[in-house]
Amino acid sequence: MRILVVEDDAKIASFVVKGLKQEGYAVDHAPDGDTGLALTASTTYDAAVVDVMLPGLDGLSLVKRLRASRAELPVLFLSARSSVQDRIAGLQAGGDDYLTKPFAFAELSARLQALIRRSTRVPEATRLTVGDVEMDLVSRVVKVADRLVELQPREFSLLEYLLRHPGRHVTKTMILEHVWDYSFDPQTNVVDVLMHRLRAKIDPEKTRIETVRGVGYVIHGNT
Amino acid sequence: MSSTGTLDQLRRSVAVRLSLWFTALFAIGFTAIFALLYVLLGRQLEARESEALQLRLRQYADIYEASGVQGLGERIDEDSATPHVRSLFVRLISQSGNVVWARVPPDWIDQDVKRVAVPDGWGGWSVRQMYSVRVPHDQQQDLAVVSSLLSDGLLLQVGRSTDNRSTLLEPLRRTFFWVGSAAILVGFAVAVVAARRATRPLHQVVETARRIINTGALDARVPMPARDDDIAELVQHFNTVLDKNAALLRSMREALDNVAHDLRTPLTSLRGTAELVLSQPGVDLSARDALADCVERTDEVLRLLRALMEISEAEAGVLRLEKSPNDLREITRQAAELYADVAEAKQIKLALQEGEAASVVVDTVRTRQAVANLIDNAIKYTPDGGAVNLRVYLENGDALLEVRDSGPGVPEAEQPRIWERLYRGDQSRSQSGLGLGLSLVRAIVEAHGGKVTVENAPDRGAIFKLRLPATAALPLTK
Repeated sequence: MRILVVEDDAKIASFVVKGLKQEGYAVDHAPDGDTGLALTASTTYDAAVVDVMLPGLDGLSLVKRLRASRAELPVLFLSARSSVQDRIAGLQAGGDDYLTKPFAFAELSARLQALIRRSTRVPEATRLTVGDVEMDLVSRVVKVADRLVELQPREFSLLEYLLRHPGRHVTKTMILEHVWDYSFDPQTNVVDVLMHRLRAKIDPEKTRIETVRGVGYVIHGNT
Repeated sequence: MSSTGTLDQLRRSVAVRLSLWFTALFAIGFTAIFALLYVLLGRQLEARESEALQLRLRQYADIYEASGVQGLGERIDEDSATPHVRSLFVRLISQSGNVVWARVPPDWIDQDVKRVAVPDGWGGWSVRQMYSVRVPHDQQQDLAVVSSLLSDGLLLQVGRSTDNRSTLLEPLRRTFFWVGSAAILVGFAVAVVAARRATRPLHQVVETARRIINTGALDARVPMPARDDDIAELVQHFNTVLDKNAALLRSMREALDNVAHDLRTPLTSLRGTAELVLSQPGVDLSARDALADCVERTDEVLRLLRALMEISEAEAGVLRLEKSPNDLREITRQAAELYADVAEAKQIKLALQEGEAASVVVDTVRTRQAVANLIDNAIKYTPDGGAVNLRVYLENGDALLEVRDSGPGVPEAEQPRIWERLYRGDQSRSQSGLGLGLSLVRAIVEAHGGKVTVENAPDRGAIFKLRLPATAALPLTK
């Protein structure tokens, strides 16, 4: 898997590149739009992370040109602008997803993975299994160590989200968006409260779901 | 409500006021001219009448002097017989006031001669050479009388029935009434049209201002009127002010965008670098704590930045709203769902009361955020085991959300201040939060043309009211 990162801010580019390499991707970095365009011409990529505001050829124009030649490359936009119009402009230019700065690297990684999965058309699973936690998405039955567990809809939704990202970090913002479809800060930590309840039901010893302070939560398979 | 609104609009319309003034002045002028005409015409008629009668009086006096009462009688008979001469009234009155001789017209209904008054006194009655007496029983006729003192001391009175002047002028008055009414009506209509045309640019100014206020369409301008007059000058200046305003707001928005961008970029790399290290295993525990603090503090700064940006944008009127038809009750239900677990953990009963749908056209995400902040605030200040009640209803064309908690309430003195940026009341110091929640609520609601208020419940707790302009119920598409 080879990924192109087009980002002019050296520090941001540095941690994105480093992080993606840690996840096992091959990564190329272009500091501006023209370099990025030149790289796509010579190399085949599985996905691209493109900053909208770039010196020279900006991100939107870069993707428009890309789309004109090679249509199927999945593109994730990064932008410091968060308004709906900016988001729409990004998607209209041919972007597949849009992430507002500042972002958690865990979220960037999760979204990128989703984009690649979508483009390679892996069929959606109906059963999710991580370690001794099993979830049937059709019958909505959850088993932990072969014991049936009753979950409320929100608890189910949270567990499903964790199970879809086994061994990967999931941030509170991502959970908030997935479980409640909320994209703003609810002030009170509603995620903590829900996580507390889910743990009481499936992980009272805190061995399955790990909290990584400053990053988020991660569900482990090998307990 | 709409009829009083229309009335109020009419009362305030310059065009209508101008037309009314114009019509009133027109009516007064028209009436004055007619009155003058009427009086002059009347005088003229009277003068001619009097002249003819004086002539006859002198003739009869001469005849009396020459041939006495008999001669006078014959002459009167003769005159009465000739056509075109109206029936005459002639009498002689002695100094004692007795009638010596009289001839009363045959068509005169009242034959009692004495009832025709004797003019005021002998000799001294030059004051009025002629006077009119209304003929009894016949409103249509008057009797014009002139008198002359004869050489033998008798008073000769000659009178002639004339058409009553008011009766004579009646057709004129009637004509005036109809012509005048029609002229005033037509004048009013013309005035309304003319005033409307003249004030149309003013209406366009008002329309444009209203559109900018309601929709934030900063590029709206008033079309220049065709004629180059003082109103055109006003429109031109107004447009110039709008241009300057728009430029100012644009540069302000750009400045805010730049600040946000310039702050976000380093914060992103700070947060990202720390996060990346944290997500790797095998980092020293104390270093982990320090880095986790960095991430959490960065998130806090970013939250603060985002809220401050939104409040500044909303207050400057440059907040971009993605309005769509919504139901305030549904928005409230969704926001309440977010806090269901938090409320349960504090054993607070969070309930949305039964009620009707309240159609509003709002930015869904931001309104949900405002409602969520109010609920969050209520839950924060409600002690464990308390209750937070939500109610959505319609009142005077507004959609209202009432958030009632069972907390300590807001002291009267603090009520206006809780909406200020970063203000924290004494009671909230122990609570977490950035103190921007309520200012953000107010900024969002006011950007939608709504209002938020707070009051204390008579028994206990605070009641926050969020008011948004309601729209006529629309079929909500899911």
